[in-house]
Amino acid sequence: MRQVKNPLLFIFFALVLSGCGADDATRNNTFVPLTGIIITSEDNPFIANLTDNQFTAQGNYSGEFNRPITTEVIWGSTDESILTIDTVGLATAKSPGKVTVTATSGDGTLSGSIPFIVTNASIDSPLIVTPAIQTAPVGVERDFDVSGKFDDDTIQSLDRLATWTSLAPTVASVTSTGGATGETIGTAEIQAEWQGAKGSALLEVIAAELVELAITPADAEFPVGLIRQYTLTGTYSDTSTEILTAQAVWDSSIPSRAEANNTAGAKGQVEMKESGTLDISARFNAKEVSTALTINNSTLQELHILATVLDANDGIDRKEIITAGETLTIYTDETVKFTSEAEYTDSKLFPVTTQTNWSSNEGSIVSVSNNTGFEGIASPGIDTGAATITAAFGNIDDFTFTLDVNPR
Amino acid sequence: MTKRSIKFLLVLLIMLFPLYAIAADEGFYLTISSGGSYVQEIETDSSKGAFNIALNPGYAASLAVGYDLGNEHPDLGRGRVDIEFSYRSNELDEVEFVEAKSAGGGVLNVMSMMLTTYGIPEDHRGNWTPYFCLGVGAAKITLDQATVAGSPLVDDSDWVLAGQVGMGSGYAISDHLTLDLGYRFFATSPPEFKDITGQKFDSEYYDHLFQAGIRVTF
Repeated sequence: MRQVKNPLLFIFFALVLSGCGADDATRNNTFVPLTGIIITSEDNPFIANLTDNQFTAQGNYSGEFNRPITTEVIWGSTDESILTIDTVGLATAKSPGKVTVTATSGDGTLSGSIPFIVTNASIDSPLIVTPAIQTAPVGVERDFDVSGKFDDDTIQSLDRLATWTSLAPTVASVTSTGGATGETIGTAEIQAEWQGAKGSALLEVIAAELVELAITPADAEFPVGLIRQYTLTGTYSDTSTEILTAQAVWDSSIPSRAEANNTAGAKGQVEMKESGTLDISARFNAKEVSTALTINNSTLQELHILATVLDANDGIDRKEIITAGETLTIYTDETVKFTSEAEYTDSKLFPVTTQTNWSSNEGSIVSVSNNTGFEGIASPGIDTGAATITAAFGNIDDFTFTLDVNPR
Repeated sequence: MTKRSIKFLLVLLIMLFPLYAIAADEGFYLTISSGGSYVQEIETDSSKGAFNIALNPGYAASLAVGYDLGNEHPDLGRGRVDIEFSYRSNELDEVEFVEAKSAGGGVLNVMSMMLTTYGIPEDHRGNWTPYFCLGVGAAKITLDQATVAGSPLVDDSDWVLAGQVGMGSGYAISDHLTLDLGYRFFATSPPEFKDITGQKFDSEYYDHLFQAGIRVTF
C-alpha cells in the first residue's frame, strides 16, 4: 500500500492487453446442423459413354455456411448399369442412359441429387494433349493434360482415363497421370491414348537447373584470428551436386567482424576479426544463400603437430605426433607432410596447417613449404644432418623440433 | 423537475465545486459498485483446433468490505484493503469457426472473490483521492447455455485463479461517504470447458471494467 509512482506504466499495460485480438479460428463448426446437400458436376450434366466425371458435394449448414463434404457423404447412382460412382464421387459411365446421382449424409437423414446423362457419343481422333510443347530441365517434371473431342461436338477431359507413353524414354519418362520428367537432354514425344485414339505433345529436355545452394560449415562458431575455408555446394534438378566455391561471390554482413575472401585461389576463405555474430553469404547465378557465423573470444592455447612420413613412392611410411623439442629421424629419400591443429581455451581444435608458418634453419638439409597447396611439406636437401623446424601460428611462434635427415 | 433530477444536479454541483480536503479516517468501509464490462475476444484451444468467442459489452456489480488505514500509519503509507465480491455478465455476440462467424447466444457470467489492496499517492489535493489497486482471488466462469447460430455450443463452468489491477479516484462527499470512479483490468488463469460434444477446450478471460460506486466509511 505504498505510494504508487508510475501510473502511466499501468495504463500502458492495460491498453496493450486490450489491443490483443484473437488469432484466426482453426476448428470446424460441428455444432450447426447440416440442412442441405448440393451436388456439383465437374463438367456438363452429361458425359460420353466409358468416360468419367467427378462429382462434389457441398453441405449447407443451417444457412450459416457451406462446407465441402464430398468425402463425407454416401454416393449413389439410381442405375449402376449406366453409371457407377465410388466413395469419393468419381463416376464412370457404363452405358448410355439417364440416371440420378445422389449424395446422402452419413446419418442418412439428408440427401441431395442431380440428374445425369450418359451419351453414346464416340471419340474423334486425335486426342488433344496440352500444352503442345514444354521445356523441362533434366530431373524436372512437367504435367500434360489430355482431352478428347466427341462426335457430338463435346470436349471432355480424359486425364484420368488416358494411358501415357514416352516415345523417347531415355529422354523423358511419363507417369500414368501425364507427368513427364526430363532424363537426358533432347526432345521426347509424350503420347496419350484412349479407346484407340491418340494424341501427343513434345517435351524439350534441357540441362539440369540449379535448385539449391548450401554453405558449409553451417551455423559455425570460430575464435578470433582463425581463417576458415567455406564451401558452396550447388544441388541441381537431376539431384547431382557441384562445388561452386570458386565461382561464387562471397560476402560478409559485417566485414569488420569477419572478412570473406573473393581473391582467386582463396575464394570462400573467411577471416575472423572480432567477436560477435554475422552472416556469411554466397551468390551464384542469381541465387544466394547465407549462414550464421559466431565469433568468440577463445584464445589460442596450444599447437598440435602431426608428421606423416612418406616413402620414396609417396606411400605413407608412418605417422608421428610431434612434441616441441623432440627429434624426428628420416632418410634422404623420404619426405614429411606436417599438419597442425590449434587448440583454444574452449578446448576446440581447428586444423591450421595452411595458416601455419613453417620454416627450417638449414635449407640445405631440409626445407618446409609455405606455398599454397603444399603447406607443411618438408623435403630433404643436398646435405644430411639435423635441422631445426619451427611452426608458428598466431601468438605461438616457438614450437620447434629437430628433423634429422640421414643417408639411406 | 423530478426528485431524482434534483438529486442528480446536487451531486453534480458538489463535484464541480471542490470542498476542502477532508481528513481520511481509519476504519472499516463498505463499497457498492456497478459498471460496464468489456471482455476481450476469447480464443479457445483444443485438440480439434481453436474457435473464438466475441462478447457484447455487459454489466458488473460488486460489494466490497474493507479497512482504510487513513492517515494513522505513516510508516505504511496511505491505503486500504478489502475483500470484493463481484459479478460480471456479458452476452455472446459472435462465435468464429473456420467456416464463418455466426451469431452467438447465451451468456458468459463471472463470479469472483478478490482480496484487493489500494495504494494512494501522498501528494493529491482537493476532494479527489486517486488510487491504484492490485488484487488476487478466485473466479467461477460460466458459459451459460452458449449457442452458435442457435445450436447448443457450451453449457459449463470452471473455477480459476483471478487477478486484477486498477486505478480510479474517490470523491469525498462527506466524512463517511465517498463516490468512487474506477477502472479494473481483470484476468484469470485459463478456464477449461467441455462443449456439448464432450470435447474439452481451454479458454481465457480478460475484462476491462469501468465502474462507479459509493464507499461508506464507518
